[in-house]
Amino acid sequence: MNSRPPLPACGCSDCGETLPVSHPLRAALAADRVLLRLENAGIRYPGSGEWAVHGVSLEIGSGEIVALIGPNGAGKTSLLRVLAGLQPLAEGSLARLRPLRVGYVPQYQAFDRNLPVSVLEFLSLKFQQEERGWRRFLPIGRGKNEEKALALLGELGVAALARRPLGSLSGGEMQRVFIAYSLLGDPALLLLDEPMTGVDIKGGSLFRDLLLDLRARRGLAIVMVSHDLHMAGGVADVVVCLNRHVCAVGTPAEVLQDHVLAGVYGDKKPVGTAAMPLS
Amino acid sequence: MSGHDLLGLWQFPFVRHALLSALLLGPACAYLGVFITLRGMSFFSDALAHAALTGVAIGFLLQTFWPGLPLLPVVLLFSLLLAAGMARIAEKTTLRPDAIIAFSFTGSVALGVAVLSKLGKYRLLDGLLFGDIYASGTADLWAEAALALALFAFLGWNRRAYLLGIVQPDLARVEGLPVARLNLLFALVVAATVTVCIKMLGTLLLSGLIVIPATAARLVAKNFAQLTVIALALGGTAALGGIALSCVFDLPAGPSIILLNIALLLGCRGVGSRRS
Repeated sequence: MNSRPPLPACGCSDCGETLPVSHPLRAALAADRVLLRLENAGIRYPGSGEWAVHGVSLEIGSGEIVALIGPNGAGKTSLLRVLAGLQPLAEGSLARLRPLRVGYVPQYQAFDRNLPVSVLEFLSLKFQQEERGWRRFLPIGRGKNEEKALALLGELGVAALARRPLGSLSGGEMQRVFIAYSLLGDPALLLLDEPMTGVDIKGGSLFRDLLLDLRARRGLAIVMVSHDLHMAGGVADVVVCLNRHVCAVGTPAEVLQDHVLAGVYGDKKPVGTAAMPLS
Repeated sequence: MSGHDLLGLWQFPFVRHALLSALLLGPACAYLGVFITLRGMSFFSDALAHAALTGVAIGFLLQTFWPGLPLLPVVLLFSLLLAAGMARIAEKTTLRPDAIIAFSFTGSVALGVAVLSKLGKYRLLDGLLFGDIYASGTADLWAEAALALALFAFLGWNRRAYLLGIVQPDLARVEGLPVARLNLLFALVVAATVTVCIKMLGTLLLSGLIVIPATAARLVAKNFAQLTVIALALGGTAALGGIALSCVFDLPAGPSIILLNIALLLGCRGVGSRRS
């Protein structure tokens, strides 16, 4: 299993197809902007040992929003998990070019929806290590960092959720609470896996505004996996199109082109992407 | 028996020991139960409690070679090995946890009964199955105090890791918390609790002391703080009250504690349904 597999037939010209797919590659970032650098990275699926992606070289710069797009099984989530430190690389290297705090919002929150844990209690877990005395051991009384958690919920526009049970939240509310949990660690890089799952159209628009706002006020770099090409096009500075390897990297205008997407998605190409509103 | 008579029982050391034992183990087991029920491991604690019978049987067997060998460390070692074994099988195979627990505990109980039978100690089975809190000695009380302290310290210290693990294990991993190691440690803590508590309630009833207060509390709690406080209160009340009931009505202590726990659970159900 150590040798690199033959390139999978994703449909793009890298795989030997004759489709006229362009592969715009952006210029290298200035050294002082780079947060993370992947070089020739290969990732295997845990258990099966199959390659999820390979040959990925990518830089993530401070304050930029990067969208990872691609069909199912393209390796997007695997790549994000590597960036989060949840999965090792099978080959290549990942360099964190400065001390880096990472926030991670996973794709599924498939926990018991009757779990008796309030939003504020969930957020307060972030500070449990800082509690002293009996509060360190029993969750009773007011934690010393509750104000910080409440302020953050306010910043994200969901202060009213503080006393609600975590399991009672809608998809969009849950995403904001999980983002709040990640932001409590003051990350420089926020990783979002399918943040639009369970979020309706209006919620999607609000979520887009939230990401842009977070970037503007906190200088956050954001890497998000998304099936929603409208979302990716509307919010990202850089779109990385994956299909077990990098098919295209560039601005939304460069990558979200019909001929690029046709090469990657084939017959399942999302409809109307050429008319997508790009920011 | 009047209240005055009940207070008069305090003069008897075995009653004092039983009440102290209940006061230590009732809330401590309830706190453990909060995490066990949230993690969906009620059946696991039940299985370990039943399987502890085999640890006792193996202890008796070893005592035929080393007559002075204390039983407690043998039971603890067996429970730890069984808990670690089940966790290992779950990690390395695709078998469902309920199936692993079922064959592990029925197999080990069968082995325990067979060993007890061959050793001619079958008559001890009653005591092992139902326990006798009135037989608690000073050494038992020290062991129970140490267990209670260890439980509150361990679970309290690792509360963040276990709750994050319940909501989304990847969040705990991203924060560098050793999820796999803490899962194994949790299984070992359950095993240690079962070992120390088996004398109090026996293998059949013990998991009720752990699981029922937290289950009852969940029927009325709106958040984790309430769940914890209510479970601790119910656990302590049922353990102390059960002993009082056993004295008043001349009943065995273990079943009295569990029956009072069930009554409290029904009460919580009533309160919970009225609220909703």
